[in-house]
Amino acid sequence: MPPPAGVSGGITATRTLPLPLKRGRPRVADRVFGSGVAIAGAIVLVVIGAMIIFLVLEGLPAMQHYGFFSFITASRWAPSDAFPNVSHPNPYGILQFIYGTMLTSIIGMLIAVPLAVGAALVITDVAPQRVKGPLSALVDLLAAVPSVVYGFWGIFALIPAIKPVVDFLTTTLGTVPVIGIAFQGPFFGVSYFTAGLVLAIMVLPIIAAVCREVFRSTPRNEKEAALALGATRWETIRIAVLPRSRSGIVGAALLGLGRALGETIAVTMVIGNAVLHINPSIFSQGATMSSVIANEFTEATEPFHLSALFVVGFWLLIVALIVNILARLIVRRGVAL
Amino acid sequence: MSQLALGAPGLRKRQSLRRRRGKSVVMVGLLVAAVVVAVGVLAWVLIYVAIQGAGALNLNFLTHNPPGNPGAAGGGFFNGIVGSLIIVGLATAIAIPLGIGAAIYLVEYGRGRFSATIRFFNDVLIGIPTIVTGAFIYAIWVTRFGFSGFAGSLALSIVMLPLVTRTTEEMLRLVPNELREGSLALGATRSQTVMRVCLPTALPGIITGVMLAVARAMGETAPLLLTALGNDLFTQYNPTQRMSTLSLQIFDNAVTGFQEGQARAWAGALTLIVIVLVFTFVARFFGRRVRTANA
Amino acid sequence: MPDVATESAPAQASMGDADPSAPAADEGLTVEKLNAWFGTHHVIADVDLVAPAHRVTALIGPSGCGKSTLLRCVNRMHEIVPGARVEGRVMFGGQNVYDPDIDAGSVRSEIGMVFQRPNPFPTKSIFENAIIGVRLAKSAGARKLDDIAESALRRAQLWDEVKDRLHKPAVSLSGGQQQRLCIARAIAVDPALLLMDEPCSALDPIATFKIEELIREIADQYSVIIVTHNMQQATRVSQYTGFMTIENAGDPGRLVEFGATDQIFGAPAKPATEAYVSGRVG
Repeated sequence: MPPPAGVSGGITATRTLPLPLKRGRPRVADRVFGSGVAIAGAIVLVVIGAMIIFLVLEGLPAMQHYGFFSFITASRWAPSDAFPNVSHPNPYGILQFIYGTMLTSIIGMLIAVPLAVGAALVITDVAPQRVKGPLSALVDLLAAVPSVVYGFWGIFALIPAIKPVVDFLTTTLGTVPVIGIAFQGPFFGVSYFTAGLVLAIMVLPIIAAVCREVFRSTPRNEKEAALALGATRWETIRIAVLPRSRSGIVGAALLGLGRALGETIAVTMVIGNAVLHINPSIFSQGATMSSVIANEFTEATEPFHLSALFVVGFWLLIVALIVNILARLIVRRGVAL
Repeated sequence: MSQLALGAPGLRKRQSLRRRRGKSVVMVGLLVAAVVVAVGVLAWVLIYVAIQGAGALNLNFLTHNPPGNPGAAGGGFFNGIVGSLIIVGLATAIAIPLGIGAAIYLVEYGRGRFSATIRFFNDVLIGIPTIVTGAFIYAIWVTRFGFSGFAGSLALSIVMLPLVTRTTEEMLRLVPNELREGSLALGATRSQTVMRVCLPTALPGIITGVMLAVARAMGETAPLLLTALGNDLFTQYNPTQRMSTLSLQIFDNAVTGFQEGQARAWAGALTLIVIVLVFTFVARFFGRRVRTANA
Repeated sequence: MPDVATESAPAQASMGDADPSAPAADEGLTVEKLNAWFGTHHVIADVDLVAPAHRVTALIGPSGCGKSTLLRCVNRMHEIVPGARVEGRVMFGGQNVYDPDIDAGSVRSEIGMVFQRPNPFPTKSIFENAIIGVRLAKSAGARKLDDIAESALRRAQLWDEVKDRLHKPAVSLSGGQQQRLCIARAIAVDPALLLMDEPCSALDPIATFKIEELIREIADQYSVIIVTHNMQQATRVSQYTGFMTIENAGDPGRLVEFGATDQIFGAPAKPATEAYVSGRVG
């Protein structure tokens, strides 16, 4: 109903006409802000790019002196054999570090992936509702423990605990022809295997967290369909949860691998740092790309020593970038680790 | 339709069901064993460190520097604790504005390929080995300005930055769009909307993310080996000089042959774990409140 | 095809009843040949409309006919969606709101908006919410803020309920109170025009009643354009009504008829309008 006739008079209108609208583009401050945050955003790209560039620059002297491929073909890492005027053979062979990184990471993954998948399945599909949260938090907590603490614990707690088992393995598996080479003693505690174990514990929470999200995204009505068919709990997991989670698990594993490749301190403390050449047994001492950098960086006084370490660092960066890029292509968002 | 009519097939059905149930119990048992192993190892690590460190951890440890002779007993990691606070503090001061700024860009301004690329490589940066980060900072900073606590902060800020960006981005996305519209409809500019409405609303979650990043940075050792280098002798407050951190001191003392040094390292490890766990717990507890408040 | 009725409403109000001499058109809002798109989707077509000043104009029509889009085109909120586009003119105070030289922010400071769901800023208190528009524009000193807040909250019929807890969080209010707070927030900056997009649709009947009362009270000072899907509400609060609809699915929305509220509901000129207001369709 329209208002009574008399109301248009006697009001305290503050204004009858609107003020003239302001001319001009959005204020300068707003555009400066927009540019500022765009720059902040771009920093990530700048950092990654700069990392590649500067590692190459620092490694260039050694690469120019010895040649690009000699680092992979050389047989030993022996800085004391380096002389400024001698360029052949390359005393900075890095193959054993690549081997060490791969071996320890693989051992870590073989142990961590089944454990992480199992733990994630329990958290999403087995545990009672009230336990899910605390259990999940506990598994995540494994990621919070600093690397140096894991290494320290590894030396004094883990090694004594596994020594009897490993000694048993070296005397049994180690004597089998052909494959026994990989399991031979003597076992001094620090070894590729020990480092692999420690890595397993360190990457487990990352893999478990991603798997948790993947499993949680299983639509409820697919699980209910399985249950309605009379499936047992394990069968439900097997036919409704796991099949559609395959790529997610792969992505999770890749993320864990990326972390394992780069882990330095804990590995350095339990691997023994035998840098000379590849040692075939997993129970022998060794070194990884990251452990040799950590160990020798501050005392790299030989000719081209520091530069060679940068070559190692460069390759470590490239490998880590590839693995992480692959992993992130598979695992899009949603995880806090 | 009765069981009698089914006869033998009914019996077979019951037996196979029993077998399937049995198998399920076994498999689920294995899964549970996996979780038990994971949690068990966590407990093992924490308890072991607590036992080893509790003996040597006391007020004296927290307030004194290590003795000049590494074989001597007593002393503590005061200089390392101070160094950790300073170096991580500076790193946080660098990472927070850059990380929040990047997140603001991704949520409020970014469109299309450029911002998708930034987001992608931000996640990739999270997985870069920290020793490589240290080597990078060595190459661009230490070679020109020498080892210093600040170089360590630069390295740690690279470690923290993608974490801060990521959690801040998630929190900003949780801010309901209606709030942005309400602000714009009042005539606010985009920057005003972000600063006065979006950030305050997302603040508790952002703080959570920052605390988790700080916890991560406190535990880092590798990048500091190449940048801050460590300083066992005296307490260094000046970040332009070499500094020690708690993590570096644990590392150095753990690998010496000296029992006394190792005893200090255990006390240091316990201290570090307590600090990291406190930060992590508070952050996650805080964060859970935020999520339920916004839901 | 319903043709667009471009009536200059006051002059042709066919009921010719209790409506007092309406203010001149240039004091209100004039929309000229307005078209809007979301990307390639044409959402409103060739809208011509004059909403007189100091009156309440209602926009009614079935869901999806573009009423809210039209509203959001007036204060240039439509363009915050990526890919959104507008053609035509919106004349306000003698200026075209879409003039490329004009800052959208200043348009929005002069034209207030109240949304369908109350959206007070959760980290701010009741007081802070009320005056935040003023703070943003930096148009008043600190001492005046108290007065402005009280005045706005009074006009929004909320003062008595909140005067003792001004610094409590805004989210501690009920839904209806929050919406009145949003109205207070919008009128605190003294806009010449207030846009309301189904302001009561998320509220219970009692809260709705209070807000309708409020609208009738503030109509003298402000010009109001209100989108509503509730026809009784339109008859209760507005003096002028525009009816929008789409003919077939996928068509853009058009303004079919515009006139005095009594006329639109009592004696609609177009068959489509008649079908809608009599409840046969929509």
